[in-house]
Amino acid sequence: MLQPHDSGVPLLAGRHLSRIFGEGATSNCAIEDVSMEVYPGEAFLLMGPSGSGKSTLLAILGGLLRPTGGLVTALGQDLWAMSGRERHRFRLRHCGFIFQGFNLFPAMSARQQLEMVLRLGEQISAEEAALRTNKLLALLDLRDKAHLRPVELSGGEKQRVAVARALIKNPSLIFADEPTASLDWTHGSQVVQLLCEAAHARGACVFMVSHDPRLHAFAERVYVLEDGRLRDSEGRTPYEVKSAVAPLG
Amino acid sequence: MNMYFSYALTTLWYERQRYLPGVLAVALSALLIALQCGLLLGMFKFASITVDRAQADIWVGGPSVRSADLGRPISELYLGRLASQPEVDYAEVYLQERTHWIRPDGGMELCMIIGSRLEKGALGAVPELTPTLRTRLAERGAVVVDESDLDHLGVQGVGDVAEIHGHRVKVVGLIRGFRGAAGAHIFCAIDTARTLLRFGPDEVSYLLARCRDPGSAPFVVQRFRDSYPELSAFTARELSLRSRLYWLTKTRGGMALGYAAIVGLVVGAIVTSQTLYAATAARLREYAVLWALGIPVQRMGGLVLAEALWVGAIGIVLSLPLAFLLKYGATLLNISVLLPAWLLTTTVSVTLAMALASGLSALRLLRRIEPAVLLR
Repeated sequence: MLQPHDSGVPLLAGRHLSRIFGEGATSNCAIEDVSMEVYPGEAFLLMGPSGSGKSTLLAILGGLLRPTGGLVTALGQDLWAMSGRERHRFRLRHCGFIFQGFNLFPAMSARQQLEMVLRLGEQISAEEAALRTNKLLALLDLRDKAHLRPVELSGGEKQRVAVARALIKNPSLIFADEPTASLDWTHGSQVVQLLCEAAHARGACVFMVSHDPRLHAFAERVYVLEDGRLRDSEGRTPYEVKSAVAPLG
Repeated sequence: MNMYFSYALTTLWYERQRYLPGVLAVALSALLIALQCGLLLGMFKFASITVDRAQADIWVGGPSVRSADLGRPISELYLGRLASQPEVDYAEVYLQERTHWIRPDGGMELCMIIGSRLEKGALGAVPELTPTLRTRLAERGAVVVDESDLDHLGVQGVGDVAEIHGHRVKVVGLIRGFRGAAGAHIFCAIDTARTLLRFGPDEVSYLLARCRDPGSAPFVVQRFRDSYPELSAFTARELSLRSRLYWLTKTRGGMALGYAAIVGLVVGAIVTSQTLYAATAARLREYAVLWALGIPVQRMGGLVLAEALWVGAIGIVLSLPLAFLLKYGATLLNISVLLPAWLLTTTVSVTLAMALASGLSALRLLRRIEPAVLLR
């Protein structure tokens, strides 16, 4: 695990986040009083048992799920003070997502999966979309596979296409939910390495959720979400870790 | 715009088995609409065939004429007023009314007597009445019938006799293409018609006119309507359409076929919308990722609608040749199916609208995308 960042403004921060599902006797507190920060160029790895609220926290930080309480600051803006439309536009400009199961359009080639995001999202021309797509596919070693559909790609190649789709907009915030699920370790580590390298190169940050302990080596920060609360390997909250690095007073 | 149709076509081709039911439903709907309406037009063309085949630009008849075959006698004195219109080149009288044909075996059949002038250039005489037939029709009581109506009329052919209102009629010739759905067409001279229909000496069914410039007919018609409100005046096209629409909408036969066409459209819409809904639902996770990436829902909706329009277009392309093939088959069975350009255009428009509406119903799914879909 790399050392935590100890200076600068976080790209992504959560303060006292909580999320409760349901009401009354059947209510369930998925996360409680969670605070964390992710800095430019950093990879934040969130681990925890199934049902611990990891994906819920990812969804809240990514502007997909409203928290019951707390504050999310992304690129200096209060994410949940925005209107739905503003938040949607924010995600278009600044966020990339990778979810479990690739979720690629079965009829589209690898190239089309990326071009679609650019042309539908930013409405750029076909020529510019092709240029940016070719560049990124080459970077991810997918140039020879650009014309292939998901059914013709291996699991690792599909996940790399999903990563490329998340990166094609040059996002500052990259969210990955179980990026190595259904991949063997060779392909899985390649995917995460690509993700982190791309983030480092662009000054973006990566927020990853995973069960896989082997991903420790790729992340600057590793935390465990258990019983709705966030702790590092020494049982400290992110705030306690930050205070230890830069003592108050 | 091209982007949407391009992506949609790629998806449609790749998942053609999934979309096939929708395409077939659209094709069947379009086919049903075209053929049902074509059958209706073919069936009810009898209502306007004498107008369509005559050479007149203007038809003047009794008040509130709803169909050419439902006119009432008017005075022949109006002929001069029509002929004196500056745009009119020539005008003549015309008789057309239903009566009963008494078969040689004593049976009775409904028929339509059509009495017109027979000289060369006469407006009311259909072109199928050759000079030879017109010469024969000069004989009092002589009639020409459609050969497909011989059975109904109880006669074998030329030379046979029958009776109308106590007057003997003799078949002097046969023509084709005038088979009537509501009674045989009986062609004769003006005088013969006047006798058979028991019209007074100055009574006629219609006054016909030819304009020097056919384009001026609507102006003459309007002027005549304004000047003589006790009469009905139409251009030939107006009376033809009016007659066919009357039979289409006012008779049970027309409504029954029209109802069947609507049912075909509704069934097509249901199957197409279910196909598109299922196809969209199958890709909901992919759409949800695009939504998470901030792609506007309207643009994702554009993909769905483009798919719907392709389904519609492909279905129509499949249906139209089939419609013409079935039309040809119907002709072999002596069934008239008319597929004019305006009917085909209407069919295409209605079918595309149906496909688009089906696509809109599939958009409901996109509006309900939730991140929970992705986080399972």
